[in-house]
Amino acid sequence: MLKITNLQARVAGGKQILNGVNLEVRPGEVHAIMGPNGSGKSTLAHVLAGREGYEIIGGTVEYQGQDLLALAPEERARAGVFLAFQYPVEIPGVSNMFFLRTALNEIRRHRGEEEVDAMDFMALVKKKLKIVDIDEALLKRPVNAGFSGGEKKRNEIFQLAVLEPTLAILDETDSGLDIDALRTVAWGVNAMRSPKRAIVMVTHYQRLLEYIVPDRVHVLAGGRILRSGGKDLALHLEEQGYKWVKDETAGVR
Amino acid sequence: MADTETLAGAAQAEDTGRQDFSAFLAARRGQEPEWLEQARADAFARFSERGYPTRRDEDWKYTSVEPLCATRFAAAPRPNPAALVPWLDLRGAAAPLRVVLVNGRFERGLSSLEALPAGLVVSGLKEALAAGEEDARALLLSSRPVEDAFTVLNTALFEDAVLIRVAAGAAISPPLEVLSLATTARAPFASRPRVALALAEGARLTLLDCHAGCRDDDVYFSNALLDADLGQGAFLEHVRVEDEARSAFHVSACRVAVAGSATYNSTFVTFGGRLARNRLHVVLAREEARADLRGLYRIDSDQHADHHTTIDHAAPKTTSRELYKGVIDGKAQGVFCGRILVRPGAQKTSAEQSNANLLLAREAAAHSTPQLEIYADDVQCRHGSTIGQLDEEMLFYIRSRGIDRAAACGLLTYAFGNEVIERIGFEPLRDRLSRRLLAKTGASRGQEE
Repeated sequence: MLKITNLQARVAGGKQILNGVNLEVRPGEVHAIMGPNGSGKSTLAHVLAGREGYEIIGGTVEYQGQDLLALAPEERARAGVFLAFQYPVEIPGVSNMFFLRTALNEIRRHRGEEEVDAMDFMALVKKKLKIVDIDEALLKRPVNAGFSGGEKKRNEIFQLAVLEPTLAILDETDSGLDIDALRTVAWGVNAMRSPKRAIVMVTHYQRLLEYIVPDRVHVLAGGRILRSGGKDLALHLEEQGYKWVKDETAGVR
Repeated sequence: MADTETLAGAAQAEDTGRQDFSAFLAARRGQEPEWLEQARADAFARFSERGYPTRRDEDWKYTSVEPLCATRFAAAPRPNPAALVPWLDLRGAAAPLRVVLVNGRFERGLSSLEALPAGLVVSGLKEALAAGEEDARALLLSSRPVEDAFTVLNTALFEDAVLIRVAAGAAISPPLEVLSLATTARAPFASRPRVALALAEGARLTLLDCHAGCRDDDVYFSNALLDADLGQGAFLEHVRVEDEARSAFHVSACRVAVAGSATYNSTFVTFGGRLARNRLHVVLAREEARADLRGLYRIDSDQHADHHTTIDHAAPKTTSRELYKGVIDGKAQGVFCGRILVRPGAQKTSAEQSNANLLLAREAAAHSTPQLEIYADDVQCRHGSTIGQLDEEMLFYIRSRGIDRAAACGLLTYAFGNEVIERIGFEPLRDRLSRRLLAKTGASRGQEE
């Protein structure tokens, strides 16, 4: 589904952050990308979602046979790519419901499906609410405006549940969550696991992986994937920290 | 060089204007009372004296009327009213109670006034004069604190007027729409819609004051004037939508006098016109008078929209709130000048003013000038002004959910402008304005990428 080959990217006009990332994700798989701060995890997530401000200097990203990097952010979303933001953006003046229905209808239109009206959308929302245990009142409020950190993260997963992407990229979805909120969010993500959907989780801590068990774990450092393995690799990281990673990266350079 | 041209243009306009005015008066002689003819002659003399404003006038620093001065405007055409029926709902607010003015002339046949609620009286100029001249005179020509070239031009040349009265204690429902429609003509023409409104003590009214053209390439000059008097404890909700043809000139003044404990709320929405200038002058004449002014201008390409507001706190314990927002795309220019005057002795006045502008394109421009003149010491006055662009973080977030850039810009424009629109209680109009705001926008940005 997703094939990243020797991806190199830098901040526009600035420092190179990705130094040749290789990664392959198949439908149904859950991958965790772990790494110390500054390793390039979030940059990778942003580059996949199409955020402006990065320059691709080499490599390719193939998604369902398409050149993902050639697509605008909205085209990626319509093709089924979803990024759950580490810092969800507040949009005062636009209600959550209206925003999400507009997004869903854009995506449906590009799939050649009929748009959903306000009534049908409400019914869909009621169903999805159960997945993330989000307060219905929040949906009538402006997007993320005045939400707590935990509410924002839940809202991201709620959007994920409504938009039903093919490839979900979760950028530090666990950061800033207490243990109860983490459980709720993880439960939501697990509910979204399906043989047709792939999930890529970017995280600093192993904690999230206790609740969402990945098929593959990758260690990203210095802008490339240093080691890949099964879920045990995460435990190894938990015990030993990232020091060995830094040592190895220093050696590679 | 520009000044020479302006003067030449103004002089020429004046010459042709004088002939036009003589012809206008001659044609109406015998149909109007002498006092009205005299008022017209006085007004025209005052116009001749001062001429059109130039950019050297402080009030017109950012707005040039040169293109208006350079255009010769003929008398307004008289189209067949039946042919206009389809335009009414399309361009108006589609309210059940409706007054229609076509090219400045009251058309009872096109209006929907058969089932007027008790306490509401609506008449055209002729009807009003027939019903009682003194009353009409007081309503039309009572002295007003503001006068400029365009208000006197209206007084000199207005062909018709709508006079609206609400009786003491009458709370009128549903809203009353006044639609000033300009039609298509072969040559540029001038129209001078004039409305005079009096709310007696404790009366309540929502006025949907719509100004629209038919086709975007129609060239005309709408010189509109609205005078409103709010009696003790009265309440007026004034929604004004300017949606003139893109090639039209629109210069308006609204002069509002608010008595004690009365409230004037306004929502001015400006979309249309090549040049739009809206002046709103509110006098809070007695204690506990209150005004809440909101405005939204949404312009693009080479449009120019200018809003000049004055709130005159002439009595103690008066309150004003003001929020004007501009969304400016293309090469358009938005001008906001908000004057707050607190007169000596107007203690315990509270005034807050804010103007925020959103620029959607590199060549779009906004000029924002707050003017606070405070001559009392026990007052609370605040003002603020911002000019900014769409937030790239928000745009990316929205796009990452499948919404393209132009629609995302529309969504954020809507979010920005909705604070003004949301107060409009008449849902069909509010919804239509919301959809206009939501329309895809920011195309000029998109092309650069």
